[in-house]
Amino acid sequence: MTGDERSDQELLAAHVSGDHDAFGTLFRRHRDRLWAVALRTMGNHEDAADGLQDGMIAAYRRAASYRGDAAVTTWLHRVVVNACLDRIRAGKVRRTEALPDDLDEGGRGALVSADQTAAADPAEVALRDERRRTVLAALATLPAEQRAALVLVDMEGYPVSEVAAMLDCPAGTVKSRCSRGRARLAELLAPLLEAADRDPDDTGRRNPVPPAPVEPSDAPRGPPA
Amino acid sequence: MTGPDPAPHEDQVRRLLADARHDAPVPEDVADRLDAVLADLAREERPRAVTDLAAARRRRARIRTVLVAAAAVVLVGFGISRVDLSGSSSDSSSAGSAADSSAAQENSAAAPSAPPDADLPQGALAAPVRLTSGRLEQQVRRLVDTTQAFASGTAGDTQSRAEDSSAACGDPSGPGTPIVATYDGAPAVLVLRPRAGGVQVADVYLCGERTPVRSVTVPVG
Repeated sequence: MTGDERSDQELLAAHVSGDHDAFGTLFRRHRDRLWAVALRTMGNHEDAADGLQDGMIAAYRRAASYRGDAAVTTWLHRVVVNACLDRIRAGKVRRTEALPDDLDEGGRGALVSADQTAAADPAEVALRDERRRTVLAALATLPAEQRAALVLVDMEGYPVSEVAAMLDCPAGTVKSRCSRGRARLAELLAPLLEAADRDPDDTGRRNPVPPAPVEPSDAPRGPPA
Repeated sequence: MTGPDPAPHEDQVRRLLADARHDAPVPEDVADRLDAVLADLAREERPRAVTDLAAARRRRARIRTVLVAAAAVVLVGFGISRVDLSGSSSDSSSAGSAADSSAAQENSAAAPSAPPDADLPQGALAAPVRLTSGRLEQQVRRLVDTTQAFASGTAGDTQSRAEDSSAACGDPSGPGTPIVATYDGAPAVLVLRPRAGGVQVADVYLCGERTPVRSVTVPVG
């Protein structure tokens, strides 16, 4: 960590003014969440890396177009998500049936969320792992726009209004995409849902608590609780 | 999400999605790759030495000559009287000839009064490059591949074409090579940004707009 205490907007302004390191500092600050969005939107490591790189380059080039009417993170998410969707629309993606490989990234909590106990039952972990694979495989079958909306709203926990800004569409459209996507997932995930109906304790963790509505401020965002 | 009648199991679906959230940091290989691209981008932006300006002017003059020749090759090679990147050629790799023929129809219908061509360019392609929203990426890729002289797209080139694009459409911001174009029939400027990391960003500005209406990224090299 560089320890740079400049706000996101200050860093972006510095980049536009010619500070050659400012954009890198800004992007590294938010890179993990942007990677998570790219990975879940694209469905595999390689396509996510390509999409994230495309988005980063586009944001670097178009920084002067940022007007400050939304948070810098919102703007970065918009650029990255659009770059990912551009790749999907252009057909420059691998087959989305590939299983998510992040479940194999050991040692980083990919299989164990923050609210799991340290002594997780291996059988429980395996079951959870399998459930996640099933969910991600089902998510990969959705149209890209629905997938992106669900990733941002239900996985990342962003408010619908902010996701609307990210996707550059009305909030009603975000809600509609989420609703249709969830309905389709409910069909695809029926066995999981039926199992959960039989065992109410096995429904997965709660939805992340959405953060407070975002002002165009510069405070860095943390993941939903 | 609230609503008058949530679908059955909607909350459960949302919980399953939340549980599938990716929590790990960006992998090292991806981080290294992004850092390398950022370093390339930063290196490009550094100001040139004063002694390079004369070389830059000579290079712009050479590129202008190459563009004239390249445009002539494009016009002769396609056997058309105006530059048309609508994708009606047979080498399209996108899905279906139906898409190509419909795009060709769309283009011919959209611009029946497109300016007659045949004047060779004096600093850029003579006729506006025709771009369509449905095939923008393919069109940009074809343009980049056909006129390799555009691929460098350095900041110095922007100045040499400023009078062409600004006379047509205003002056988009940022480094890159502006190309007079139409976008879905509307006057526009296509700006090819300096390439980096094996890709080139292209921004489409409608005349009078200060922000791009569309942006695509294509691989180069």
